[in-house]
Amino acid sequence: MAVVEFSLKDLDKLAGKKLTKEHLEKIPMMGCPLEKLEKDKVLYEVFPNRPDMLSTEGFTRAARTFLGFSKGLVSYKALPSGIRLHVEKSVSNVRPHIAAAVVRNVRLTHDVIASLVQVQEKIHDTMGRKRKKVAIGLHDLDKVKQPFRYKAVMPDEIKFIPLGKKEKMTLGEIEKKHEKGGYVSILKRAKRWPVIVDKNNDVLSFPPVINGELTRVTEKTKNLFIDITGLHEGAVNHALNIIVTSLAERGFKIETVSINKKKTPNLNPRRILVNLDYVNKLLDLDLSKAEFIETIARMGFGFDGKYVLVPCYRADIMHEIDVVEDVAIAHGYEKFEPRVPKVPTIAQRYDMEEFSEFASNLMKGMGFQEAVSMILTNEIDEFEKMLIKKEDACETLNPVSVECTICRKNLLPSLMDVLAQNLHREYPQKIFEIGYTVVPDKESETGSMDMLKLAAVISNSKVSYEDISSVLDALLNQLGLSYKFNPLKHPSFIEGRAAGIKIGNEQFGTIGEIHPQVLNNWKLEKPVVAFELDLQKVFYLKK
Amino acid sequence: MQEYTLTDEGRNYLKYGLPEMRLIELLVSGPVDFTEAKEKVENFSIALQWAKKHGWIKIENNKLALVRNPKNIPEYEALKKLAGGDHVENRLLDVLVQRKLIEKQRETAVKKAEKLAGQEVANLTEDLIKTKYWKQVKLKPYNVELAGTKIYPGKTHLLSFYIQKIRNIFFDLGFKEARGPLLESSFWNFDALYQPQDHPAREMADTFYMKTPESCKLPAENVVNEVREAHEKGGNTGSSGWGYKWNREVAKKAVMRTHATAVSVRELSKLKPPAKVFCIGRVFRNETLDYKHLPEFTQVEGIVVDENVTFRDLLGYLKEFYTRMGFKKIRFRPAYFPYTEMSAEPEVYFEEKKEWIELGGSGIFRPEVTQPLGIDVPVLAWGLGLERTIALKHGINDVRNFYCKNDLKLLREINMW
Repeated sequence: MAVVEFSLKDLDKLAGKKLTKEHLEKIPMMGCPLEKLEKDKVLYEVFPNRPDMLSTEGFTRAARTFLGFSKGLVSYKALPSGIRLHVEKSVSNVRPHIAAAVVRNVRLTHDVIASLVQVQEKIHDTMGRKRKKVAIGLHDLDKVKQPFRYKAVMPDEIKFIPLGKKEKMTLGEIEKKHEKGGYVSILKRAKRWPVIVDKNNDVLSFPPVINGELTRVTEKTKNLFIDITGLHEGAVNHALNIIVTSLAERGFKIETVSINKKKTPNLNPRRILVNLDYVNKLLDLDLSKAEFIETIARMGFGFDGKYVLVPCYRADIMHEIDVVEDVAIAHGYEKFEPRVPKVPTIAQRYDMEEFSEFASNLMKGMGFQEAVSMILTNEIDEFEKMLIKKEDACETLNPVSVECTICRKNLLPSLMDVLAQNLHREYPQKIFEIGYTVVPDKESETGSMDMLKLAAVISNSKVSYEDISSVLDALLNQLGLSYKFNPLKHPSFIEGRAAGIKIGNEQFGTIGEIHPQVLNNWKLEKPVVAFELDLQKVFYLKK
Repeated sequence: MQEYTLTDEGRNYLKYGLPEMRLIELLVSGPVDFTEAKEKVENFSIALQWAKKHGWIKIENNKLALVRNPKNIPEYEALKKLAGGDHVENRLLDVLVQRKLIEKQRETAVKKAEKLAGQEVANLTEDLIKTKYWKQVKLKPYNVELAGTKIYPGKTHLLSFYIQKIRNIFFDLGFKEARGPLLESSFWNFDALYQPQDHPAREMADTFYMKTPESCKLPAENVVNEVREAHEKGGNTGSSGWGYKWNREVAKKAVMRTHATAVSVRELSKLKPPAKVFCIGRVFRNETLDYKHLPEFTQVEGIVVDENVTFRDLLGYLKEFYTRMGFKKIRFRPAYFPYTEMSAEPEVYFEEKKEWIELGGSGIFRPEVTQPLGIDVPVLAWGLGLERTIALKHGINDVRNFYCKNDLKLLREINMW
């Protein structure tokens, strides 16, 4: 989630009009929730599909047409700068794509720099995937001499003063010593790392890690050189278009850079065919062609008689459906009258849910409080505390919390945890849970199987095996099952006080009195009797 | 006069003799097969018990035989005496009471009740009711303002309560209930939803990937190809696609499903329009548990698949759904989800907070999602996280209290209705 901050003064200046509170509160209907409105600034959330709105200039451009201050496509021109950038083959397996532009006659006021820094940072974090997919470099063009070269070098091959430092460092030293050195991990697998150098082999940038001090952009900078490097050509060009059109909004002059045989940026609109019937059908509107053109103009689109013209900063328009959404937004979500259609279908219950609801009602009828616990657990709770030997379980690869290392195979540990959490609540505590466990199953499509189980516990100063066996007896009788309890050795239960639940010739669960060592492990102070039943197996037996 | 009277059973035996007497009568003419005796003598087990206890009979080779023929049967004599108003020794009285052949006389009840006449009494006793003496006593008023002893009913968990409520809303609207695996392939969780393989939501930081099982099987090859083409260049959907090389190994990776939408797309791949399907199930996010974040929560999702549905219908279903959930005011804002276009975020008005709060997400599935699954009609979809909704509705600040902790105090005392 990207939240961007704009100076109200700057917004007004770019909008060419004072934005009222009503304006600022209407803007979210364009698809950017208002996070905070203060005296001199405003914060909006910008969705990932609209990185063009991450800059103050781009944001105002969208708001301007949406609020009706202006309409239609803004065309941007980029004349050739004559500046060349040569891309060497050596970058192809480390960071293959680069796009660049020159912006002339800039006046970098405080607001302009604030906006530039913000858009750069936010693009890095969002569409840039933390600089991996896209990284942006801004340079003072007049400090270096073209032609530039984009090449990959050995970490100790080249030295330069990184931004904010006083001494020259090799790329390897930057990795180890510089506060931005962490970004080198993006390049880690490659032997050679990318740099942009000028005619004299002076370093402009070590993308995506750090720029050189040499080309530092200051308020005095007159001409900008912008490089975008990355892993995806489309994303690299798109990011460049967002940055340069933002600067063009300030009235600065954009020029292209020749990169090998290509020129960037390309600021021409893309064309997309949109079927008006499709728009009207999906939105249940009745827009004429003229109304349609008028509507999309409020979202900054143009129309050339046949095609919708998509501005060069919008990469999110992949399909005509994306234009349909913009029509809906321009029309105003609040203007669509909700309606419940007649889609003739018949309700259908999931049969096992029905069954488990029945079992749940029986347990509640016997005075048990229902609990709901997490499916993810850990070996300590699942096995160790229950005195069970570690078994195969579905195991997570990358849990941020040590609590969530495996999927539970049993519900009883969950209920022991519930008891442990409620040590100081009134007794007796009679608790049950009906819930899923997930167990490994090599044969199945997902390599696992969800199993519905039912477990119940009673804890009080005095409890007996009979207290719980009569509950299970009632439950199974009401489910129409005859069963036998067969004496069982189970490490979680007291020896001689545990039994298997046998229906026909199969085991369906366990019942007994919890072993005092298990109680100690959970820091429980009162005895517990419990059972756990394979409800899913019972369901299929009944079915 | 002793305060005992014969029970119905006692009177019956007085008339026809005790069961053991009839057993003896049968055996007088010689030993009889056990099974035959069992058939011929009514209340055989009682007869056998008492005849053996007195040492009158024995069992040999499955036959019953008389040991001695008692001249008189003490219990029977006692019954006769009691019926005639004669004295009976206490030892025999106890036996008869135990055998439920006599009981304390009813007159006692009358007497007891008699004593209370005209008095103020606390307890309305059985005696008073049976003898109708309640008419002659004054029943003492209770302190009716006093609260009784606290009891906690066997109660539905807060979360289950809402799950049932929402299931019923969907059923009322004619939806089919669906379920899908909790541990899911990236294919169904992400790829089938047109989430590019480098999408931030797929990153390790947000998603639980699995060590065991590491990977899942992919569905039929034609489905896999359609999805791959949609990602790469848009396939036949008319889309430009994401423009990257799709990797099937990435799609195989096993995850704990991150949204119920995984179930919706699985259903989509199987159904024929028109259809309405919903799913309520657990989803997982790789987060550390705190008062706001849950590594697991419950998501609700509904889809409507029909040729004629429009954006207005999406809003219509949302309005209907949230109204039935008890929210009176609802409005819609533009939103973004990678797999829907239009996307809309419903906001409901909380009277207590005097605030509009975003509650869930919705949209129409992108053609890049539906077409590879063989669905050529619009699919409306909406969903919401249940725990947050409940927390907001009940003013619970820390979701852990009713979820992971299962705080019994809260669960026992909370008003759900």
